[in-house]
Amino acid sequence: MVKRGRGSIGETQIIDLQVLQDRIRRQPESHKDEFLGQFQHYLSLKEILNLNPSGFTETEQFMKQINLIAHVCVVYPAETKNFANDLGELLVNHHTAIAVELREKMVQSLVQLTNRQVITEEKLIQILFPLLPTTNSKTFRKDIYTTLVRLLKNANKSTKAPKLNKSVQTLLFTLLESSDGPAAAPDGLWAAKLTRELWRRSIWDDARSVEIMKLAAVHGNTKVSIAGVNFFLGEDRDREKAMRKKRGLDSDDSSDAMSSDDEDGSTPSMSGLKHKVGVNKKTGKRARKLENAAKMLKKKEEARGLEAHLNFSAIHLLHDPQGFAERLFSQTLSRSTGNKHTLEQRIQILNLVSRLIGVHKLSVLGVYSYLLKYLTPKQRDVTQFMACAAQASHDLVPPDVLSPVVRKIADEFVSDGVAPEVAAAGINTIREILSRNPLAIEQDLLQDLTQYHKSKAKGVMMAARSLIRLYRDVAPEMLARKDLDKFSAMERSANARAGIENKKLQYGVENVVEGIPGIELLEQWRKEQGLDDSAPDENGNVESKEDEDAAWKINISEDDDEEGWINVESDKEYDVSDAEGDDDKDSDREGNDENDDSDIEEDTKKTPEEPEAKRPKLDPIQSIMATRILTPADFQKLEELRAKAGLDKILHGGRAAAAARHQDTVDASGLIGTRSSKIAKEERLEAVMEGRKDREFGSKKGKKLDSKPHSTTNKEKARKKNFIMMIHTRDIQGKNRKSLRDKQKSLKANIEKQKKYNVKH
Amino acid sequence: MGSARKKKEKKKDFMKTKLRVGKTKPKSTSHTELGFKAKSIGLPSQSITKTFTSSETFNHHLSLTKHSSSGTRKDALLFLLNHLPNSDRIDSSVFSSIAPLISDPSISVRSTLLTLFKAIPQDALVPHIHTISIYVRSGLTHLQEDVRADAAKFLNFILKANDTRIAMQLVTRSWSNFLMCFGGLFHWDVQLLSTISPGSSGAGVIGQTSPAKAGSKNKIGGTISLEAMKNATGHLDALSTFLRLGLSDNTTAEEKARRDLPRCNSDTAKHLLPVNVTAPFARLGLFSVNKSMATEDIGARYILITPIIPDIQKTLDSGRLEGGEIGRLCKQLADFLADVQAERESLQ
Repeated sequence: MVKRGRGSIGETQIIDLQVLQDRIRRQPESHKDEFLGQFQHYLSLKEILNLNPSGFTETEQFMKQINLIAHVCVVYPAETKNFANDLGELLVNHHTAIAVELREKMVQSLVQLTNRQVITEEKLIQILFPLLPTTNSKTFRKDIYTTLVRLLKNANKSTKAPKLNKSVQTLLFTLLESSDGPAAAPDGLWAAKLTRELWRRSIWDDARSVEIMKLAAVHGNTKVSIAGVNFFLGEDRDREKAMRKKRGLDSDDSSDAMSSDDEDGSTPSMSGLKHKVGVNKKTGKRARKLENAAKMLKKKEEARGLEAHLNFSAIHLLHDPQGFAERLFSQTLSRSTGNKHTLEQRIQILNLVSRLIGVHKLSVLGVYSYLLKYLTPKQRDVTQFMACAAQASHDLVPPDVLSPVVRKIADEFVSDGVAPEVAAAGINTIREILSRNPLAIEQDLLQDLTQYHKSKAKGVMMAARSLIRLYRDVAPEMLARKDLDKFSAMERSANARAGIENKKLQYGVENVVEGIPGIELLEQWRKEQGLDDSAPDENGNVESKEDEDAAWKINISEDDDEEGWINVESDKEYDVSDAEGDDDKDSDREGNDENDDSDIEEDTKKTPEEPEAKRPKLDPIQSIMATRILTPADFQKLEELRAKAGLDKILHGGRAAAAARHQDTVDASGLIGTRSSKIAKEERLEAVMEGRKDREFGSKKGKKLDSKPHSTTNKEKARKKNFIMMIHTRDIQGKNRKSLRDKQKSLKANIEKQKKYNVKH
Repeated sequence: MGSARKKKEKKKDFMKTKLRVGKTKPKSTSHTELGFKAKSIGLPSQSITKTFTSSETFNHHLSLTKHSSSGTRKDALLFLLNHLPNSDRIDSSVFSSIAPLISDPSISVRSTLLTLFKAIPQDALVPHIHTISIYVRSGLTHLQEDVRADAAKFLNFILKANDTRIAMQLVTRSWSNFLMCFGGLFHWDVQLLSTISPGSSGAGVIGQTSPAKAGSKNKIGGTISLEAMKNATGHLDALSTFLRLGLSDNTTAEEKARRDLPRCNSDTAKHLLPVNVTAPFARLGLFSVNKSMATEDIGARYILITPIIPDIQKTLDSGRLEGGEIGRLCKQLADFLADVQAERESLQ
């Protein structure tokens, strides 16, 4: 490029602002006058705009001027110091009147100024945010919205920008608070929307943003409050989806199908499919099925890895969940406030309230009586209400509050007169409730329900069986003897013989496991093996050191194969040290301890391969845990021994297991249970027929004939004519007697005809 | 066959729809579908068979001034040229649609517009001069040289109008704005202008922005050479007319006579409405959002122009060297400025 002198540039006529911008960038000082001229032009255009914003015709020119000034204002800060303020003022005053592209340009320039640090982000947000609820243009709202999101995203990119976040959050708070009230315009919706979006992208993940949504959920305006409620209900799934998309785990088109499959829980088992492929005829469809299943499994595996990345969910970050749930319930659901919500909205709110209750173990006792009204089979969307009932129950709800719900479901849903689907749904719901609070049912009712395991309907039978299985773990004493498993039954008869009362579950008593269950089995086993012959003194320990080392090492390598180190170990050792210290602690806990121990003793008596069971009882804590450090090998052995003795239930079963088994959320569609494929097909066909109702199929010609009464056409007659009568006609016979040439001719004619037909269509 | 189908249909009518647990309720039989489809939409107001009244035609041509084709715009202006001067339709809507054409890209449109302005009776023009002047300023600062030149023609037309009310409006209501425009044209340091607020008066302002300070400022760009400027004559002409109007006392004899009427108080003259002012209270900004700078007397105008006088003189000096028409204009204007300066200093 030729380098020009300063004078020559000044004389060259500048015909394009783009050129001027380029030159200013290279030599800002020598083009100051030209720039000031253009700035004057901008000012005069601004004046024209102020004069008549709706009739402004020089939009294009003004956009060019704005563009130029926004680009070079860093060079001339003194001259253009009012520029950003002017743009903001123009936007605020005339955003409804001016042309769309000019408006966009202004926003774009303001963003540009922010990027060049001419104005702060706070300033930009203060200009743009008030426009969001006031403007009536959909595109402009979208524009501002995306701008705000992008701005916050960029600000939080490398490190969080707490100051900016806080100021924006304050802005949202005030917006929500100022527009509260049922008659108010749903301005607060934007606050909810923005927060949800930022939460979904993990830009905001603090308690403050959750507080904003909390405020939105109890907002007077229905739209806003539903947005807030939906946030708490769906935010985790949203976030996970977003994260998965970011990692490219699933493409856009398949994501919906994926999630729906997940909800159904109908992922095919790999081994079953493989077996089918081996046994059945090989077809392309089956091969594809196998492939799809493999893909899906892989995705699921990867998704499992993702879960660790997710932060606390919004529900866990709430301050004062009790107050929130109470307010939500009393404000929107209780009868005194009137029914201003539709059924769907009420279900959503109820869903959130019940989830809050379940997760935080709150006591909002009004919910249970509220639910009673809706728990009838004829209620629309009753499964949703049932799911809410299950979610709202936890072990700290008084049984006398919860048992009416269970009783109502049993009365309404589970009887001989109702459809098997309904009964299955009822029992499944009861099982879900009871897995959270086993005391919420009377023994008689439970035993009535368990009798359904002989039902002919598969869904009902399976539901009843799962109920039995639950109670075998949780409270076997409430089941009839025939429903018990082997060990429980033996225990019960032993108790009966000994005249001991069966231990019972009690409301509010936590089942705390102390010590290592089954440790005495290990002790005994060591004795039998002759490993523990040496007295537990210093020497003995020293001698066995090499063995121990081996045990550690071996097990480390084994562990790597199977699973990581079990974190619980250290906890248990803490427990042990506790137990050592508080031999003389309060009697309540002592009593529990003894109970446990006696159980264990019973079990050890029963096992046939241990004849020494009647030996005087050693204090296991004294013998092993106080003197030895257990190696992973020891734990492995302990597990084996426990399995043999049928003791596994204490660790893996029981209330703790039940609590671990159920999740925070209950899927309403899962409550219905399995559906027979026949019914599913019928439903599907019904839906297909529904879709075909208004459409016409087949030829028009046939329809035309059908519409009016007519005699049989010649074609119909020919078609129906007896074959024997036709076989000797010339038309048919002639085909065989044709000469080769004639055959060729007719074939060619046919081909021509086909071609013409193809061209036409 | 038919009877079987009929039977089936009949049966269907009495079949009960199955309700399933967890499914939404099916729509009732009396449910009415409210959506509709339309194949065409009629717009009777846009019918081609309709005849138009004269006012409708007029409005149509007025709207054509915004047309994208320059030929159409010119035709619209020619229509207005034929109909506007003797019609009673001269109102602000007309001017708000034709005034933007001052900075139209097409030369023929601009020249037609000038003829149109000249054809409109000046009495009718008076109330709309402020609107027009805004567009003239935008033209004067336009990027294209020829638009700027034509804007100067419009300005000259306004300044040299027979009716003094027209020209004086520019001086009284947008003195500093025009000075800024001229500053952009001749490359003066107009930043100095914006430091003075319009309402402020007295010696304090002069003290703040002394000419010495302005002169001492190291200015790299310098003033533009008038030779390089196209239509320098027109610009200079406009500038000199503008400055003369603003800085010299040009009250007519009649007004002087009015002023010299016997008064009961010696101070009455101070409180009279200024002469030649169409909107005397405009500076109060009672009816408009943006306060326009109102400079009603020579003193205020002189205060505003003081900081850039050295720049103006520099321009004039360089112009004088070129001789010819430009040189003559520059010389006259420089002499006038010197006179004004002397007069003002003597007053103080």
